[in-house]
Amino acid sequence: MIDQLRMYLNFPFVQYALIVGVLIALCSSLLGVTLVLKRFSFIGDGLSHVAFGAMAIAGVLHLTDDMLFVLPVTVLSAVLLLRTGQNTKIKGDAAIAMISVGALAVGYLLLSLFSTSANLSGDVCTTLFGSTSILTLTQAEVWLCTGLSVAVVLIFILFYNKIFAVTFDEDFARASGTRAEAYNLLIAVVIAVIIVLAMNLVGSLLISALIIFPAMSAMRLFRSFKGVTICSAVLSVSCALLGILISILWSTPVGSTIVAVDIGAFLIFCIIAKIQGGIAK
Amino acid sequence: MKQMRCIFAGLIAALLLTGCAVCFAETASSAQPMMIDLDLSAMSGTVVYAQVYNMLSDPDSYLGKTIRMAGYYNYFDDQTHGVVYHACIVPDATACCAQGIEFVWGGEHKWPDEYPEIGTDIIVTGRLETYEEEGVKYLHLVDAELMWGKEGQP
Repeated sequence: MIDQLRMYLNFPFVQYALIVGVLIALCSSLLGVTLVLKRFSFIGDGLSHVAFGAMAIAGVLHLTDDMLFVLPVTVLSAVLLLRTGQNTKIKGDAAIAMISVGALAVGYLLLSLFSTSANLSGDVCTTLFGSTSILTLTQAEVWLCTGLSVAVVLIFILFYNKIFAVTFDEDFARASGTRAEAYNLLIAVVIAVIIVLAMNLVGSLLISALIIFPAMSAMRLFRSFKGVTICSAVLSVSCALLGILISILWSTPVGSTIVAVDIGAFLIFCIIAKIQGGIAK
Repeated sequence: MKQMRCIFAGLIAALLLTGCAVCFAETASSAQPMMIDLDLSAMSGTVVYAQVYNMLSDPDSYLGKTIRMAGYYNYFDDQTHGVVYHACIVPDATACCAQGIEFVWGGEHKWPDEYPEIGTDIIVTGRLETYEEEGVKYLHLVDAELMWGKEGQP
C-alpha cells in the first residue's frame, strides 16, 4: 500500500489535489469558527447553491473560465445574505433558504433546457458532490486557488482582532469605533471566495461540512477563540489530507470521504470532551 | 459523423459500471508482451478516472505511450459509415460519470462474434494516438491487446 501511495504521489494531479485540498480546508476552517459563532452556519450551503446556479449559467453561456462569473455572483449573494439581518423585510434564515433552493432550482432548470453536454446527470452529480473534481484541476486552477487561499489567510491574520470583535459582540465593536459593517462585508467576500474554491473539493452540497465540522469539533475541547481557530485549522487540514488519501487508495468519492473523516473526528472529539468532563467532575 | 461521435461519447459517458469482477486469465491476443509506459489497470478507480480525464484533456503528454487500462467494454455501431467504434469505459467513484477511450484491436477480428459483450470487464493495452475525422481530433489506443474474463468470451 505504501508503494502504491508513493506511486500515486508522483502524479501531478494528485499533488495538485493535495495542495489545493489543504489550502481550501485551512481557509474554510478559519472562517468556519466565525460563521458558527455568528449563527451563520448554513450560509455556506446557501452560497454554494448560488455558486451552482452561477456555474450553470456560465455553462449555458459557454464561458471558458466560469470562475470569472461564478465568483462575483457568489460574492454579491454573500453580501446580500449577510445584510439581511439588518433593516430587511425577509429575515436571515428565510433569505438563505430562498436563495439556496432558488439558485439550485434555476441552475438545474437552465442546465436541463440549454446544456449541450452529453452527460447532464454526470455534470450535475460532479458539481453537487465533488466526485473527482479535485483530481482533475489544471495548473492554472491550482495557481488561482493558491493565490486566493493565501489572500484569505492573510486577510484573516491581518484583521484577526477586528474579526474577533465583530464575531463576539457586533454592537460593542461598533460602539468602540470598529466599522462593523465594513468587516461584515469583508467576511462575506472571504466566505464567498472560500465557497467557490471549496466546490472543487467537496462539491456544492457538502461545503457546509467543511465549514462547520472542524469548528464544532474544536469547540468540544477548547474555549478560547484563538485555541478553537488553531485546533479547527489543524483538524480540517488533517481530515482533508486523510480523506483525499483514503479516496485515491480505496476508490471512494473524494468529497464525501473528506466529510466522513470530519464526522469521525467530531465524534472522537465529543468522546474526549466527555471523558475530560468526567475526570474534571 | 461528428454528431454520431458525440452521441457515442454521450452513450459511453452515461453508462454505469455493471457486473462483478472477473478473472482476466484469458487473453484474446497472442502478440508479444508490450512494454507498458502507464499501467492504469493496477491503480484505484479514482486515480484511473482522473488519469483518463487528464489524457483526454492533455493528450500531447501521452501520445505514443503504451497504456494499459481496465474498464468495461462498449461499442458504437455507426451504420451510416459502416464503422464500429470500440471503447474501454472507466467510471468515477460515484459512478455518475464515466470516461472512455476508444481502442483498435490489433489483428483481424470479426465483430461482434469475437468481441466481448457490452459491459464485460476488459483490459486493453495499446499505443495512444490521435486521428482526425471531419476536422475533429479523437484519441484512441492502436494495435491494442484485448483481454477479458471467461464469462465474457464469445
